[in-house]
Amino acid sequence: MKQKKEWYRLDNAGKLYPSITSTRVSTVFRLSATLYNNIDSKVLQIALNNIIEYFPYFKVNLKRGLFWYYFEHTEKYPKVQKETYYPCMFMFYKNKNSFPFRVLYYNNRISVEFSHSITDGVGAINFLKSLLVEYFNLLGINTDSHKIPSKEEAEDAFKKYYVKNVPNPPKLKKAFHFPFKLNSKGEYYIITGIIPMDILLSTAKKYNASLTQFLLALYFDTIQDFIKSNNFKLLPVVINLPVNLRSIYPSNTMRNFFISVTPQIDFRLGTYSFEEIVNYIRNYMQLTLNKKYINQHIHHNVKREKSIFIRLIPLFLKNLMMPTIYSKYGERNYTTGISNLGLITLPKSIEDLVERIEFYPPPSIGNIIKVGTIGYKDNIYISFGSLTKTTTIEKIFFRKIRKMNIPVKIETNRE
Amino acid sequence: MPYCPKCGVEVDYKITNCPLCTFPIPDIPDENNNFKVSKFPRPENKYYETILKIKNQIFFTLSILIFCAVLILITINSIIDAHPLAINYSIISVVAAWFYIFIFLGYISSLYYSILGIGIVTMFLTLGIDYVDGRINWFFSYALPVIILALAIIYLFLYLYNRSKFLNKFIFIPSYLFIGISLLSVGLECILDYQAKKSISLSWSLIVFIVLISIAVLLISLYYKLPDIIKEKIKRKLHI
Repeated sequence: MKQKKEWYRLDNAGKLYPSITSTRVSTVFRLSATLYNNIDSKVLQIALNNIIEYFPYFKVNLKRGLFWYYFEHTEKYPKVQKETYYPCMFMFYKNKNSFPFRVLYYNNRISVEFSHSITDGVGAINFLKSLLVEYFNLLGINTDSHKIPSKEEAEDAFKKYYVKNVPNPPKLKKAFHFPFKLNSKGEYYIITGIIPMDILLSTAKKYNASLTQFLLALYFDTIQDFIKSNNFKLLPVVINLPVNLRSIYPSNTMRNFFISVTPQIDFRLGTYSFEEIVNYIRNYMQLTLNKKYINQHIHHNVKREKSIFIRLIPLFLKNLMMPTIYSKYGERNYTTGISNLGLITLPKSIEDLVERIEFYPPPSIGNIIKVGTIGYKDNIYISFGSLTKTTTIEKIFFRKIRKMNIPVKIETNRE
Repeated sequence: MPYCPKCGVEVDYKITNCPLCTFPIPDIPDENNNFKVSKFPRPENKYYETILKIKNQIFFTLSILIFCAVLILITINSIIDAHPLAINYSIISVVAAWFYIFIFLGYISSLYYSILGIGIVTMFLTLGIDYVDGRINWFFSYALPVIILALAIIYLFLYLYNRSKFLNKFIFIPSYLFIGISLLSVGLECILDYQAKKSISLSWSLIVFIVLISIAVLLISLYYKLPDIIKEKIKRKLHI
């Protein structure tokens, strides 16, 4: 008898992504680990085959239903590929037998690229960690064993923690956007700044700010400098900051579970000093990073998904409408985004074998520059992902850090 | 370690220009002579290759469908006693559709040539349809002038659009559309009148022309703003 195929609904945040995906807006982000030795692709493939069984919710193909996309379990195995293209390029995961993620290798680096439809940064980190552990295990280095996945890891946590009858959060208005010319399709530029963690932390501490708050303030200040030096028509500057909700709700889901908070500063009100910006952000975070505020956003998102009118719209119509709706109610209202995945720790046994871990944000036309930050061992890696050849924002940002007497090393995939 | 003198940031050895400000970086030899592997591959851009592949698949599938359609029409023509005109009309239309698909899939990279291509295919389509009964009745008198007129107006629109693409699109695109439609109406009435009466006396097109041109001129002059003297006068007379 033919075995019944397991299938999963897309989670609340993930439902959006397949409909807005295009060749430019790939909705693909990357996590990569750089080792000290070159990668053995055969061993990496075996490692991938071994660990994928522990992530059944990733061993799937995207399928079309009449009303929604869904993930269907597949018996096939993903193949590791040699990296040849720009990072975070589009993946045809709507095609038959395509996985919504890929594992790449290049010289001494392993990269995993995930479509946001299946997971967020936390899910990708756990996957990369398991892949590294298994890879080193196969190379004969004794590491920890894998854990058995629990049902909770595949849950749609948005629905689990959805609270009824909560008023909608206030609406955002059109934000300032960078007026840069888009690059050619199929290209995505990365500029990574590598900064010693301890110096950056101690500087942030001087301003009584956490690392995220400090980087956010620097980014606001960068945009302020850029706007004021070019006399652009002023609109509020809004930065999209995804918050990992697993730290607020007791969930271990490996699927999407984040909400974006949107600190905004209106530079029409005047010039802000760096201290003022830090103060604003510190207070903003205190106001928003609590269950009551977050519940509003979860409620707003889940309510729309639960609406019978939206559910009954056929998928092809949803695909037609979603990009416009997302642009109007989503990225039109943000200037840019910054995602901080925090400090990553690996098991002690393999920590010395991995030089660095980096995170590249997904490319987007609405926000042509986005920032992804991640900490590993003694460094923090700040990566600007950009769909424009212009590097003004990156230049102002890293020069500001240098002016604070913090050393920065810059790397790029630009030619 | 090499540094950018302007940005003050450290960069890798062998980097010729600063990734942030493109300022030239002095070539400093690696004292430790460390073996450094490249961090990124020389990236290929797979976009155009992938899109061409998809485009070819679509074109190939549609070509087969069109070939089948022509074959079916010929077979029907030979088996049943269908009116030959109906079959011929269908065959001409299907073949023209194949050319249109070729152009719309973007095989001709220049927009100007694509539009010219559409015009030429339309000319052959209308000529073919007209010639089905063995005589040319209306192609030279009506179809050809209308196609040339439409092409000329589209090229004019594109020329104006390219000149003002960095200006306000909400003002200029409607204005140019109105100008185009008004010229098309006048041109159409001229052709129709001339062919019917061998003389030109404009009626409906003149109304369309005046209304649309007025709106276009109003929109453009609002954009470029009125001279200060007139603005001041309006302000004085209409102040509340």
